Amino acid sequence: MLITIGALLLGLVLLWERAALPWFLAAEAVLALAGVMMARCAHSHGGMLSIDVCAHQSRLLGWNAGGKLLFTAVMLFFTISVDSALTALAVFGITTLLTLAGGRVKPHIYLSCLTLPLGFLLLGSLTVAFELLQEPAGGWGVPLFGMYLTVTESGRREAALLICRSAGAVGCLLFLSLSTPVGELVAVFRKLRIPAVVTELMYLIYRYIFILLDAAFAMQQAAESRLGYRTLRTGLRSYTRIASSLLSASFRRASENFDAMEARCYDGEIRFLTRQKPFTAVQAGCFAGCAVLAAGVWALLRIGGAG
Amino acid sequence: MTKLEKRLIAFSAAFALMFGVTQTVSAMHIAEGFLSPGWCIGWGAVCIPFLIAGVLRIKRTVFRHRKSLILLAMAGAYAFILSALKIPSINGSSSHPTGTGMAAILFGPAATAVLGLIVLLFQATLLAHGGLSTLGANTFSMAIAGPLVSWGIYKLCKKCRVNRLVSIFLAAGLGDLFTYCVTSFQLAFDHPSEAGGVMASAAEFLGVFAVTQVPLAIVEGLLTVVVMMGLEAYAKPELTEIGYLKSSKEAQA
Repeated sequence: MLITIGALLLGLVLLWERAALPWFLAAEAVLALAGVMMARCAHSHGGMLSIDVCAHQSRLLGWNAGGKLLFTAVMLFFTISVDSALTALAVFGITTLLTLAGGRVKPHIYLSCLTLPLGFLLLGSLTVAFELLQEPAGGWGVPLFGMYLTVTESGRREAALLICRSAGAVGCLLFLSLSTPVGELVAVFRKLRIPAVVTELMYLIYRYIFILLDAAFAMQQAAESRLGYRTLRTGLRSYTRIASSLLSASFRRASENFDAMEARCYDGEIRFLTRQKPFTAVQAGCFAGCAVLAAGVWALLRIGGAG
Repeated sequence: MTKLEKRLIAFSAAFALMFGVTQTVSAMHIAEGFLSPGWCIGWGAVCIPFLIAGVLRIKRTVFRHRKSLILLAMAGAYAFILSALKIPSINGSSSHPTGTGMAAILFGPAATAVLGLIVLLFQATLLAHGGLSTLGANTFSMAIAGPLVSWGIYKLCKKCRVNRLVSIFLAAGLGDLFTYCVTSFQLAFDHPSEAGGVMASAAEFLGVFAVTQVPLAIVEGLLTVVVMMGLEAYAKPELTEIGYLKSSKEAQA
């Protein structure tokens, strides 16, 4: 609901009086539809971490993790550096295609992953678009504290660029996280000579997340089945109780875990057997193709804009 | 007040909250791609000294007793889970506390910085919450600035002999508020408004986020107090181990 309202408002701010009326209405309709779709596929943490499950089922799982990380880093830097909204949208398209067609991620899961970042983006770019001025720009404004809340031309342009750029960047992030499990990423970090204490901590936190997630959802279910979330007040009470008993339970579990590891000759270092995933020419070619495509769009727009 | 009046007030409050407490802005993660590369690198660079201090600190503690690594890892996983747990609010969406104030009180600001960085990285890759390019900025606001304030206030209150529960509440709540101010300024530095510059833009961002963040800071403060009370009752040995409570032997000696 909120996302739909935000999307409609953004469309109004960005496109009003800039596009012909039929185009404007069509764009608003598309935005509303997108908002409704997103609300339908809303982000829920229920059960498991869906991104992690997807990463383990992805068809790109067999690809070299370092290669994927490098590709994501390069594309991300490219996206946030360019000053062209269309190029950023092209990056979003390319990475989305790579994730959906290459990784075989289901579209509704992809949409549900998009809701959370896009919600923030809507609010943030609306804040950038609006400005508090002494006089209303463009003939209209909402009076507030003796000033006017209005949309200027430059604010409008900046907001449009911002939302496109962020969409491209989110596409890059989702490509990485929907194709690479965290365990493999940590192995890459270890190769990059990040201090051993940090990578160990990462491994352990990643493992413990699932242990605690189980316990947390069991407690939440127990509270819910006893009407613990019926009203706001009981809900808050349940939440704090779960939070505190979860922390003490996690401390206790950590002690047990440590004893078990000591019994298995834990000497301060955990060694894993990792499967070798070579960086093949096919992978390199695919990444290079995508990068060249994005750079090509940018170059074409430059030439077209200049001439 | 008649019944109708009461209902009207309740309805208007609910309506106001519906637009305020939304899932999207509840935790102050700056989304992916929202900052330009200069600021991304800049905030990352600011974090580095704190992170190095944190790594050295953790290394030293782990060298002394190995078990503290496991405890730290559990605390990190706990902070992650806290953001995935359902907290009730009016319109059914969820908003969640950061838990960094609690970590700062328990483990100190240096270790919290490293822990926060890892948790933020996982939130970006596992929940699409925050982002890789904004990791530096988010780490600075949520894992360094906020916890430093929390820890400072907690220590100050301890010196001044303020009631422990009151000082925990103040530390967690004010740390949360500080995080939110820092984030607003980070956003404003990168997107200054045309006429008023950085300050006008900061005021705008502060205004937009105040609706959710001020109540959330109070909730976070209360939550931290309750959790710490529960911990002191049930997990005394572990709290002694990480140095939060003085052990009885040390107290005698």
